[in-house]
Amino acid sequence: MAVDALQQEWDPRLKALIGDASPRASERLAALALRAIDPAVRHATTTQLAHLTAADRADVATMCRDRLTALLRAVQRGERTVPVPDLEDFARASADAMCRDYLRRTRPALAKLANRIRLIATRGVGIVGWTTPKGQPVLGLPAWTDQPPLEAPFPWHGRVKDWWGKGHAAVDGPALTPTVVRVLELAGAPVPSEAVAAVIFEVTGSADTGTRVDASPEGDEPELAVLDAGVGPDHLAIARRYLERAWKELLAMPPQMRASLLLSLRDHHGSALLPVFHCAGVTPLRLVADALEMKPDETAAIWAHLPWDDKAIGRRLGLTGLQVLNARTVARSRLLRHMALRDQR
Amino acid sequence: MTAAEHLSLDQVRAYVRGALHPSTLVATDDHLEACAACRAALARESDASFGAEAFGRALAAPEARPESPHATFDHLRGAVDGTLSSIDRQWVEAHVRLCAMCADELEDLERFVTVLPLRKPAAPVVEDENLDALWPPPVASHAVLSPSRPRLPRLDEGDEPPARYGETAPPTLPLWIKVAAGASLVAILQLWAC
Repeated sequence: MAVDALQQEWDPRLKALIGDASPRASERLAALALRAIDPAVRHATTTQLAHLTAADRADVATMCRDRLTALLRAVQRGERTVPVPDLEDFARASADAMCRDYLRRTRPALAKLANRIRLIATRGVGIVGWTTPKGQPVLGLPAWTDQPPLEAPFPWHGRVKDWWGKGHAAVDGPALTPTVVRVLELAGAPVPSEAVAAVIFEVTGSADTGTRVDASPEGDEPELAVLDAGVGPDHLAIARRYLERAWKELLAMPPQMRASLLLSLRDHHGSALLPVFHCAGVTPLRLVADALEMKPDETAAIWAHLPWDDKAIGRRLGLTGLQVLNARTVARSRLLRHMALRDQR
Repeated sequence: MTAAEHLSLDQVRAYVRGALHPSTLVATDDHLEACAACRAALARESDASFGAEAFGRALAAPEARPESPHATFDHLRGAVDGTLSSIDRQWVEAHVRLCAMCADELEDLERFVTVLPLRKPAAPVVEDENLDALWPPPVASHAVLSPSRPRLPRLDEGDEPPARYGETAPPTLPLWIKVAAGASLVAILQLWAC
């Protein structure tokens, strides 16, 4: 394994936090939160949630801050497995994503309209979509891709009906495409895709009828009966059976999902958990190597370097760090569910 | 190493700690596979119950991820077009089983795509974190097709492209009308000839 595959690409300020439990580290963490997280959250909530009440915006901002501060603590404890190369960029992108998810949850009809419009732009019907250097998805005519997009307040602000005139508008079906074309022609410049959806929503007098329940996949996993550490032959036999069941479930997973989970598994001290299986006599190293689609020698060579961060796993599997994170999330959920089902039986 | 030469306690402990040199790790593991006495020594040194407990706790601990856990538009679009890579497809399929919000949005796009003109998607959907940066460029390219997800019907290369929305398709007459008109013409000519 190339050494560079094991090197972590962290923001130096975060790298300095890893494993540092001193009071000074806590001060540094608080300072980082103030300097990097607060501005990102403020920017995301004021630009994306401008139409919400101040109280709602403050709620979302608190949620964003809490989650990003939890990230800093996870980094400090060595639990974060996807390196964060630039904290400011990461905080900005994460705060934006959290605001978007909030809107998707609270305004589902508008979110679906925005998706439909973005899909239209992939169909070669005279509208194209691209992403600005600031990461904002915009829509426009093919000749406009060099132009900067309109920014709020948009020309229709406060006078949508006059601006639109008498033309027909639709939020769905074949008539949505000419509606989007008309918005762009009237605007005369690229428009953020969310704004296109919002103006069509307003022109057609559409309304969101209800907030979705929080559908986070993180929230509805079954409780796993965690084994208590104990002594005695009975307890060892139970623990071994538990690990054997887990191993069987792991082998039934698609290989990339399995490797994403196994190579990153760590206990609360940050030590690798993959060796648990062969140390408990559940499976020999050669079969662990097979499960990872590696040669035994190769597995032995990486053994002392486990657990890997997601970037290193991604390099090994030909995936991005985020794909590894997603694959591991699914693998965890699947394993928890299957183990819980077996418990019920 | 043979079955007769048992592992020393230090070797067993080094094995448990992951401190063996890679060159001896595989041989030690093979020996453990064959030697019940050394396996018993290993069981004494490595407490499986602690390992199982740590494993269970690690599984149950939530990921530290402020990134959105939800499918992005590019994931949804890739699922609709059948252009996701296998790992993303597995993830999206598993995610929509858990997440009502993303399932609802995917269902809406799957329905909506049936009313759109049948054109090839502009670009394959994507494999990396910069999904948005690859949002379809104006120039069309061929999509990478998912091996197992059922694809939506697409035009073959030789097919006549459908009219763009807003354009009127050129009028064509059904075949039966053409046949009936031809037969009528023949009958009129015969009558005239008589």
